[in-house]
Amino acid sequence: MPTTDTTGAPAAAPPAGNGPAGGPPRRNRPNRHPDNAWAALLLAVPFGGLVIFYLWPLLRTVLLSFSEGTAFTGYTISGFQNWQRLFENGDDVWRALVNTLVYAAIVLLGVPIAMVIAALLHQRGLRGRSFYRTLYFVPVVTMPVAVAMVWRYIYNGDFGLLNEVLDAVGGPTRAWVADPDTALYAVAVVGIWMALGTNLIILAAGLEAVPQTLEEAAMLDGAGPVRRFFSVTVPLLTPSIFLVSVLSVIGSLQMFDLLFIMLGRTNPALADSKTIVYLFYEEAFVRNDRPLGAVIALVTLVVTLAVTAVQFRLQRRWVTYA
Amino acid sequence: MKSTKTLVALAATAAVLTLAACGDNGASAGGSDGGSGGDGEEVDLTFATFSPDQEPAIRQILDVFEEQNPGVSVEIQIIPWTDYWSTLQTSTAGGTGPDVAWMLGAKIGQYIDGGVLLPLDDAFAESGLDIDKYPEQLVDLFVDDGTTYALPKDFDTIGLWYNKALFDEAGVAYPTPDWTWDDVITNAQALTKPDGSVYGIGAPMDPQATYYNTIYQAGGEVISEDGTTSGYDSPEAIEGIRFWTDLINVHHVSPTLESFADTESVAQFMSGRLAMLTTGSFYAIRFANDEYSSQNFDVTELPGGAQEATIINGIGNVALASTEHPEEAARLAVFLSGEEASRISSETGTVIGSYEGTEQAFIDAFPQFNLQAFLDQAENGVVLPVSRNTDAWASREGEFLTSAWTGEQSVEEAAANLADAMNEALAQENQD
Repeated sequence: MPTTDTTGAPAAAPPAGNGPAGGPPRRNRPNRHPDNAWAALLLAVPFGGLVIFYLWPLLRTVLLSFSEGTAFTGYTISGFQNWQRLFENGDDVWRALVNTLVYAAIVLLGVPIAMVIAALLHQRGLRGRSFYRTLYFVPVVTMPVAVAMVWRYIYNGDFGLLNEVLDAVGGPTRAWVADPDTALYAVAVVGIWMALGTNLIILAAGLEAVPQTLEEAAMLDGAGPVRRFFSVTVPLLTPSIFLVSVLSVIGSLQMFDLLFIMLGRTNPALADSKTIVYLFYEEAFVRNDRPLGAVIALVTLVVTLAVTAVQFRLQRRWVTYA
Repeated sequence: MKSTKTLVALAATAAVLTLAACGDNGASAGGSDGGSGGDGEEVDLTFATFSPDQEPAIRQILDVFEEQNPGVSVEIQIIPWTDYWSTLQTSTAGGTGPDVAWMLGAKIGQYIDGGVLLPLDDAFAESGLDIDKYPEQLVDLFVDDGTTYALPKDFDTIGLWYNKALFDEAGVAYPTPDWTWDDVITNAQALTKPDGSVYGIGAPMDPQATYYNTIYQAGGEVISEDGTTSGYDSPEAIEGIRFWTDLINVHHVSPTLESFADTESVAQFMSGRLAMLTTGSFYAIRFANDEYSSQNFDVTELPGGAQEATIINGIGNVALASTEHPEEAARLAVFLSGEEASRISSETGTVIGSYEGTEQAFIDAFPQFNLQAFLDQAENGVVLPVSRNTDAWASREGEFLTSAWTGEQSVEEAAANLADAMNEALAQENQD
C-alpha cells in the first residue's frame, strides 16, 4: 500500500472521529520484524469482514441490477432493461429522491439544536450534568419501532396528544402523519429528536477539547457568554460539527423505519412522503422485483456519495482545524 | 487526500448497509437439519407459520401428529407476518427453508413456478381424506395442472359486524341478512352522531374486508377469469368501489381514510366509535377476548348488491422440496389440513376448520356471536382474486385508489389508472 497520505492536518488532529489520522509516527523498521506478521493477521480479520459483508454484496447487487429472474428460478444477466425501467418510473424515483433530500435537510437542523444544548450542558458548575446527558441519550438507545409507535399516538388526528394540546391553546389541529402536507415534516421532527443524543455526545466531546484558556482570554476581553459561544466555541467546534453533519445526512438518506411504522401501507400521505429506501423496499420486497430494487439501491449509493462529496468540498470554506 | 478517503469510507459504509439488504441470500430460517436421517430413525421437521394467535391450536395438532408418527418431532417456527414472505422466499431459494409452511393462494403461484413445492397427491391418497369435503374454490387455489400442492386448513368469509349498544342507543333495529346497501346507508345516517364521536360504519380501504366484496356483488370482477386483464375499469367495479368512497365523502357516515391511517378500523370499532364494520370471521377470537366487544358485538351476513357475494379465503400447508424427509413432510402438510386438525382449529375457536363437519365446533366456541352467518354465506363465496404474481398488482391498489378515497379524484379516474397499471403488471407476468 502506498504511504503518501500523510499530507493531512499536522499536530492537533480533529478532536473527534476521522480515525487514525493523527496516529503514531511511522516506524522505519525492516520488514522481517515479527510485528508485521501480527499486523497482517490482525488486519486480515476486519479486511476479510469488509470483503465478505460489504464488497461481495456490493458486487452481487451490481450484477443483480443487470439481471432478470426470480428468487426461485435464479437470476441471469440480461442487460440494461432494469435501468431502463428506472427511467420509465422516473416520476416516482424523482419524487422519492426529493422527499429524501428534504428530510435530510430538515434533520440537519438538529445539529444547531444539539450545539446549543451541548453548550448549555458544558457550562461550568452545572449540577446533574450526567443526568441530563443520559436523558438526551435515551432516544438513541430506544428501538426505532418503539419510538415510532409512541410518536404515532402523539400525532394521531382523532385522539392524539399533540392535537389535545393544540386544541387547548386554540392552535390548528390535523391528522399530522396522514396529511400529505405535514407527514414528511412530522416524521422529520422525530428524526431530529432521535438523532439528538448522538449529536450531543460528539459535540460534547468536541467542547471538552476547546482550551479553557481561550474562553478565559475572551472573557477578559469583555466578551459575554453569547459572544464567546459564537466567536470562540463555534469556530473551534467546526470539525465536530462537520462530522455530525456528515453522519446526520448519511443517516437521513437511509430513512425507512420511521416512515414504515408511523405511516403504514394505506396512508393517504404515503405517496408524497416516500423516501428512496422506502421505494427500494416496495420494489424489492413487496413486489418481489429484486433487480429493480438493486438498481434503486445503487442509485442510493451514488446519491449518498455525491451528497457527501459536496459536503467535503464545502467544508474547506467553514471548518477550521486549530 | 485524507478527506477523500474518509469520504469514500463513510459514504460507502452507509450505502452498503442498504445494498446488503438486497442480496438474494437473506436471513436463513432455521432449517431441516434432519437429525440422523434414514427411515425409521429420528426425524426432526420444522413448520413455519406467521400467527402467534394460532400457536396453541397448532401445538395441539402437532402433538397428535407426533403420537401417530413415532420418531417424528416437529418444531414450530413463528415468523412475524411482516417478515414471513421474504424470509420464506429467501430461505427456500437458499435451500435452508422449513420443511412445511403456511401458504396463501396469492403467493403460491411463484412457488409452483419455481418448482420448490412437493406434490401432496400421494400423501393425500394415503391419508384417506375426502377431497370433496373441502370448499372447492379453495382447493382450486392450491391445485396446478392436476397436481395438489396444498390443502386449505381453514377458511374465512366476511360478515357485517355491528355494535348492539350503539344500535340500542340510537333506537335503530339490528341489521338482518336481507339488508341491502341502501339500508346500510340509511341506518348509518341514523347512527352517526353529529359531534363525530360515533360513525355509522367504517369504510377503510381494505380489499378483502370492503371493496372486493362490493365489486363482486355489483357483478364486476377484480381480475378476469383467465388472469390476464384487470377488471377495475368496468362500470360494475367502479360502482363497487364508489359505495365505500360515498360513505365517507357524500354521506359522511364513516371516518376518513386519514383517520383509519392513524387508528385502524378494527381498533376504532372495538373502542365504540363505529356502529358497523365489515370484516372477517378471523376477528371472532379477538372480539371474544375483549370484554367490551364480547358483550356488545354481533354479526350478520353481508348486505346484498345486485347479487350476493362474500370474499372467501383460506390458508394452506405446503411441503417444501428442499426437505431432507420428503415423505414425512408431505404427510405432515396433509395432516395439518386434515380432519383432526380442522376439528381442533374449530373447537378452540381459532379459525373455521375447512373439513366438512368440523365447522359447527367453531360456531359453538363463541355462542355470544351469530357465527353461523359466516357459514351461511360460504356458498356465495368468491375466492380472493389472485394471479401468478399477485403482489405485483395488489400492491398498486392502495396507491391508485387513495385519491378516490380522499375525494381528490373521481372513482372512474382512479380505477382507470389502476386498471392501466395492473394490466401492465399482468402483461409482464404473462410474458415471463
